[in-house]
Formats: sequence, C-alpha cells, structure tokens
Amino acid sequence: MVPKRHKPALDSLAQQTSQAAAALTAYPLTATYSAQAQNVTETVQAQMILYTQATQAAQAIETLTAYPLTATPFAATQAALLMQKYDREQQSFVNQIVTPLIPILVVLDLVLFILILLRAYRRFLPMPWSPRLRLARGNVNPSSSMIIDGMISDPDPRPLLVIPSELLPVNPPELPVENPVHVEIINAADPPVAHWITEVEHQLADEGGLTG
Amino acid sequence: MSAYRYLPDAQRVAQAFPILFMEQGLDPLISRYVLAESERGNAWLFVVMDDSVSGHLASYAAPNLLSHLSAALHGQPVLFSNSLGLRYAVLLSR
Repeated sequence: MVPKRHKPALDSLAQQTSQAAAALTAYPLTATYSAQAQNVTETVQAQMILYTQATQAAQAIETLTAYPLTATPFAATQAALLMQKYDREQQSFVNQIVTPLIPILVVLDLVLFILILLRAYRRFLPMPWSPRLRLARGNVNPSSSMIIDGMISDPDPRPLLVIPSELLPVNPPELPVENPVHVEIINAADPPVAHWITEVEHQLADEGGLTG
Repeated sequence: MSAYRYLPDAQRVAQAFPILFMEQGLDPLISRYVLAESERGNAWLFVVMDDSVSGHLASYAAPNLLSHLSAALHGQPVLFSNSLGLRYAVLLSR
C-alpha cells in the first residue's frame, strides 16, 4: 500500500514513463516511414528518367525511320506523278491554245507573203500603166538617134521622154478650177456702155493716156 | 465679136479686183463686170460697183487707190467714173 502522500509522485512518474515509452515506440515508426517515402520518390524519379530516355529514344528512332521513308520509292513515285501532272497540263495548254492558233498563223503568213509579192510586183516589174518604167526605158539609150544623109534619124520612133524632177501619176488629179468670174461682153454701141466708153476715153485723153 | 479675145485678160483682172479692194481695207462691193471694145479698138473692162459705195465715195475714188490698182494690174490704166453709177474702167488693150 502506497502512502497517500506519495501517490501524485507515482502518477507523475507513471505518466513520464508512458510518455517515454511512447516516444521510444514512435521514433522507429517515423524513421521507417520516411525511409520508405524516400525510396518511393527515388523510384518514381528513376522511372521518370527511364520514361524520358525511352521517349527520346523513340523519337530518335522515328526520326531515323522517317527519312528513309521520304527518300524511298514512294517519294519518287509522288515526284513522278507530279511530273506527269505537269506534263499533262502543258500538253493541255498546247492542245487548247497553241494548236488552234497554228492555222490562223499560217493563213496570216500566206496573206502577208502575198501582199509582199504584190507590192514587189507593182514596184519592180514592168507594168504598162506605170510611168516610172516608161521613163526608165526611155532613159536607157537617150542618144540612140543616128545621122543618115545629114538627117537625124531615130530608130526608136517613141518621143524622147524628159524625166521630170518629180514623177507624176498617169492621171493626175484635177486641180480645183477657180470659179471664173462672169464677165459680160456687151456691144459698145449699146446705150449705157456707149456712154461709159465715151466718158472714159475722154477722160483718158484728158489725162494723157495713163492713169496712176 | 472681137472683144472675146480680151476675155481671159478681163477675167484675170476681174478676179484680182476684189482682192485689191480688200488689201486697201475696202469692201469689194462689185455688182458686175462688163467687157466692151470701142470703135477705136480699145477694149474696156468696166467694174460696176454697187450703189452702196456712194456712201464711201471718197475712199473708192481716192487717187492712191487708183494708183494701187493700176500698179497691181501691171500698169494698165484704171479710171473711175461716177456718172450714171459708180464704176472703174480698166483699159485692157494697151
């Protein structure tokens, strides 16, 4: 039996003892838990590193795999298809635009050629209506006349043509004729004119024949 | 009629007259041209003026105008008469 006066001390001691015991029990629990948590964290980090490395490796593999794919016959096939498409478009342009123009260009060339021929023909070839060549022909032997028995004889009966300084057309355009002033011719014996003549002849005689 | 041989000269003078008037600042108020040959053999061209000229008689009868007309017509005599109408007379046969 514990005296009454020692009971508080005993209670306090018991409480301290239980606290110490609790503390001694709790410490290993906390340490264990922290160690486990750290292990989990490290594991997760390691897994993340591995995952990252795997991802990078996969990307590298994809990259390395993709390049050969683009430079492969598939790309060449695509390029060939594009070239065929371009060729088809070019051929279509030729068929739709250029080919219809060819006959027109041929006709234009022919017309131009005929026009040039006509112009050259009119310019250089002898034409009976051309004064140019008649003049030129007359100028070939300008002194073809001969003297026979003291007479000048010209074997070419054509008249000697004189080349004018400016060639004129065969049928020159008619110049506009000025309207001639109407002048009445009246017998000098008629009454008004007879008086006029008498008057002016007297005046002329008085002035000595000249006026002005 | 022998006056016909003067017709070309008469037409030439008749064509020149309006121009000569305008050169002198006068209106060519000409009513008709009359060609006649007198018994003496003088061929006259009468340039008969319109009656409206009488209002400017001094200008149309001025001696310097007659001199100008005669000189422009290569010295052919030019006379002015105002009896029974106004007219110029150009002697063509000289």
